[in-house]
Amino acid sequence: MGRIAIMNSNAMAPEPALPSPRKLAVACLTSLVVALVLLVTAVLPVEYGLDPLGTGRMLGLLREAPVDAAAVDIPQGDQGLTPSLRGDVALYGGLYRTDAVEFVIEPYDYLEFKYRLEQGAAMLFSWAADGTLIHEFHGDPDANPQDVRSYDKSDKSMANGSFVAPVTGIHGWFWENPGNTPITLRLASSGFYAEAVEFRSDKSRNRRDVSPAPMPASTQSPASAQSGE
Amino acid sequence: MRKIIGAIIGMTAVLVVGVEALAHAQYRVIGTIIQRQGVKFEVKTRDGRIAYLHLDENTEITRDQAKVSDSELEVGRFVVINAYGDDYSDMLAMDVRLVPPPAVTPAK
Repeated sequence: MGRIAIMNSNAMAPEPALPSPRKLAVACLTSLVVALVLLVTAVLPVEYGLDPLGTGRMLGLLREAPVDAAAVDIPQGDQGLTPSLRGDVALYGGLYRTDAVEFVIEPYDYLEFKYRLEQGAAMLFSWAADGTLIHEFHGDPDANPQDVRSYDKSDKSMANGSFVAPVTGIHGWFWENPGNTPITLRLASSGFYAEAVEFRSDKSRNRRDVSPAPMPASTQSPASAQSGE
Repeated sequence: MRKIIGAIIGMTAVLVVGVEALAHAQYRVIGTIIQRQGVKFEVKTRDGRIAYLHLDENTEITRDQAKVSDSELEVGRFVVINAYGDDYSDMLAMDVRLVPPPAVTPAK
């Protein structure tokens, strides 16, 4: 009975109007153009790294091509501690160095210890003392040493960190012993610097060169490896 | 002519005073007061040097972070001083802290 009713209702429904051949052609053509635009602007850059219109880069869809280290012009010699930025990587012509020092800060005395870093050069550090010190991590720009930049100012007995020099200059620590017993402090650091300077409260200034970090005997030096030698 | 000479003398004086001021440096003097006479006093540092200092109306004297009178600067007191001058022979004390003497560390 129901089946008959359905058949009857179908039989009574009006015939839907079919699109004209012209409309079908326009719709197909529009779809094809949209597909082509998406292919060229998005699919090719993402899937194949091809970006003929530059839209992949503009839309942030294109991944950066890996840097060919051999093709990068890395400063050598005196300029070797200035980083060459290539994407997310900073390359150096100069040698990586490590340093370790120990200080005894007498009661109520202070000292400053800083490394010379070029703008953008990186350093890792870790220091620990056997007492709480008045402390400031700061830098003196070469261009204007009076324009002291404070990076961290707080009393503490240890700190571990990384640092990228915002300007060329000497960057490091002021430590003051606020108490009446000597405090021993040990600092370890590594990075792209060649010189350290120590300032004492008696106005003495002790500058010293930091030696390059020893490399395993079987490997090439970083400079020759980067330049493809 | 007098005006020119006057200007030259004035500029020279400004330069001399400026250079003199720049030549001064800030020192930290840590030690024991060994002599006091009015605004002048002497401090013997732990390395045996003697610093000759004087006070002025702006010198701040503190103990336990509280201001105290300059009468507390007695012979024998241990002090930490930020001073300004050419060298240890003549310095102006900018601030003086009265602190406990360093603890005696046992000989190793």
